[in-house]
Amino acid sequence: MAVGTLVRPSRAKSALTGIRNFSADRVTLIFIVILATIFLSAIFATWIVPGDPFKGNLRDRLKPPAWSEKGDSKFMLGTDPQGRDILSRLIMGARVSLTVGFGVVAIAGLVGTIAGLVAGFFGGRVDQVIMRILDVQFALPGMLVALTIAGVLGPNMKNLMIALSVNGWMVFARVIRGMVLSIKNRPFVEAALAVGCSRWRIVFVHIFPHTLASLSTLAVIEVARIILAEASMSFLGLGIQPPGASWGLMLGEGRMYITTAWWLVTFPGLAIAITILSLNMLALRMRSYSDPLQRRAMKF
Amino acid sequence: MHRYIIGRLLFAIVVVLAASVLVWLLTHWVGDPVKLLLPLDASRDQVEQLRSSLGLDQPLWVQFKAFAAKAVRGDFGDSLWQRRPAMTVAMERLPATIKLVGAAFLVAVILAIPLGVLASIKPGSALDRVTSILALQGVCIPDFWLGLLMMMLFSVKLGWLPTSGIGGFNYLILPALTLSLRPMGRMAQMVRSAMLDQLGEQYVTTARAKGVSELKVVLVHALKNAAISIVTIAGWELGRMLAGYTVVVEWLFTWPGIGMLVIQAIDNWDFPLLQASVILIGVTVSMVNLFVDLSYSFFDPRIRGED
Repeated sequence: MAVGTLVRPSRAKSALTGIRNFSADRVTLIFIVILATIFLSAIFATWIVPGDPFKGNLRDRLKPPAWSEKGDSKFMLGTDPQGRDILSRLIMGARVSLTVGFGVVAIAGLVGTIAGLVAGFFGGRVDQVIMRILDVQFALPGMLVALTIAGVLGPNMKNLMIALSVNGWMVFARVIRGMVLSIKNRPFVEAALAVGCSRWRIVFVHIFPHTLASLSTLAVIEVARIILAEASMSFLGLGIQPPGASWGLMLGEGRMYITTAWWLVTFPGLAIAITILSLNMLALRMRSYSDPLQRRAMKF
Repeated sequence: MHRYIIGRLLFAIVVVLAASVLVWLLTHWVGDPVKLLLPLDASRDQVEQLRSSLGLDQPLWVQFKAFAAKAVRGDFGDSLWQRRPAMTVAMERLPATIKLVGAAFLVAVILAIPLGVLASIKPGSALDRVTSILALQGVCIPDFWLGLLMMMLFSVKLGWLPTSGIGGFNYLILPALTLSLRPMGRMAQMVRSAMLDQLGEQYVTTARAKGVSELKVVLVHALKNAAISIVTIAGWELGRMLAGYTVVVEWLFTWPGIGMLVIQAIDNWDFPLLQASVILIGVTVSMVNLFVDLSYSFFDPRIRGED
């Protein structure tokens, strides 16, 4: 009896949290579906674009979106001053954004993770050197360094990725180092040492997996940040070059036409905002799944 | 206290030095100045001659020493684009940037602090939601896109404000607002969490138990203790605005500041000007950071006592 009275309210409570979790998950689900759409269209971009994203017909220039009065059903989101289909350029732009985003995070994440693991585990002079470099680079005007690199090397996608990678490794190094410092004193590390594992093996096989949950969350947040940085640099003319398609470049090109063609700047900006929002929401959710303490504190 | 100040000062110098080495290496070594100065059909002899007359055949270290010796006196050579001393050109642009960043920072602080404080008093309230949305906006929406949209609404459609350029107060509103949005969102969120941390402390409970009015508890007790985190984040945001955000906003609104100058220098392959303007921004940002570090001792007596 006593047990029953104790169980019942908690059951009701767990049902409630279940519902709450479900509704929270539904929000996550929406963002996952959006991200999947963006990913798939980036991957299959060349097959699914309705028009030519790089070459247009001047007779079709500056057509408003299909639903407005002068719109053309051939161009769903309208056309740009060169008569190119905006939707097709948006889809190709997704490919650029994701390539740069994931490419830079892969490079910067690899360098930063190794630096963080080594600094955290071996400590001493290695740690000091890495941390001092990190401190100084954090204090440097990062965006300006990236602009200078891209400007001097010549603006293109490869150099843009180099520029952004140079600026992106520090976050990974700092977070991973912090985690290693707390992990390396745990008994399992001592046990591995006792059975004769080499130090490198301990770092990469035993400690590294423990950082994966946080590392993947951080990577998703960084992808979002890099996509925004790519858009900014392309907007300034120091990233992707015409006739290439990048969301930032489209905003830069459309900027001259804001008095006549609102659709030129509206859709690319929306694409950037939605992508970054979805990535951040996903990261938030990932963090709450790996950390039950945060799961309770979270609210959607 | 003295050791703290000297330490921070040395760090600022190291940062400026690192920025100078980096920019110099990039412009001098990666980008070849000779190629810029000579016509495309120049003979090999001419190239060699110019190389030795510019001292480019010397070891890298010697070349950097020569550069640094002039740079500390503010001499970066003449701007190739403007045919005037590069540092003079860069210095001329600084006031416009300071005006823009200053205005944007003021807007961000004036709105973010009250919003964050009010949100922390009632977590979950409507105002708290507004703060969260504002913070999310700061992370997710490109500021230059918001600027473009505001330009379309306020300048093109309604005709209230000028689209671009510099002039009276009218010209400042849109760029400053655009620049303030990102830092504002993040600052409001940070103020909120710093205040929530403080309001959960025991001294707050004690103050309330003593019968101190809620207004005083929040504004005098908690806010004063949260100040150090607030100053940290505000200083950090100010640095980031100067060191990057302002470039895009200035470019968007053709605001003739130093951020726009950086892009113009790159577009004109004007390396002396690029060096001068990036290093000048580096010095400015380092000074802001130094000032923030030193202000800690004002808010936290523990730092003052250390020696």
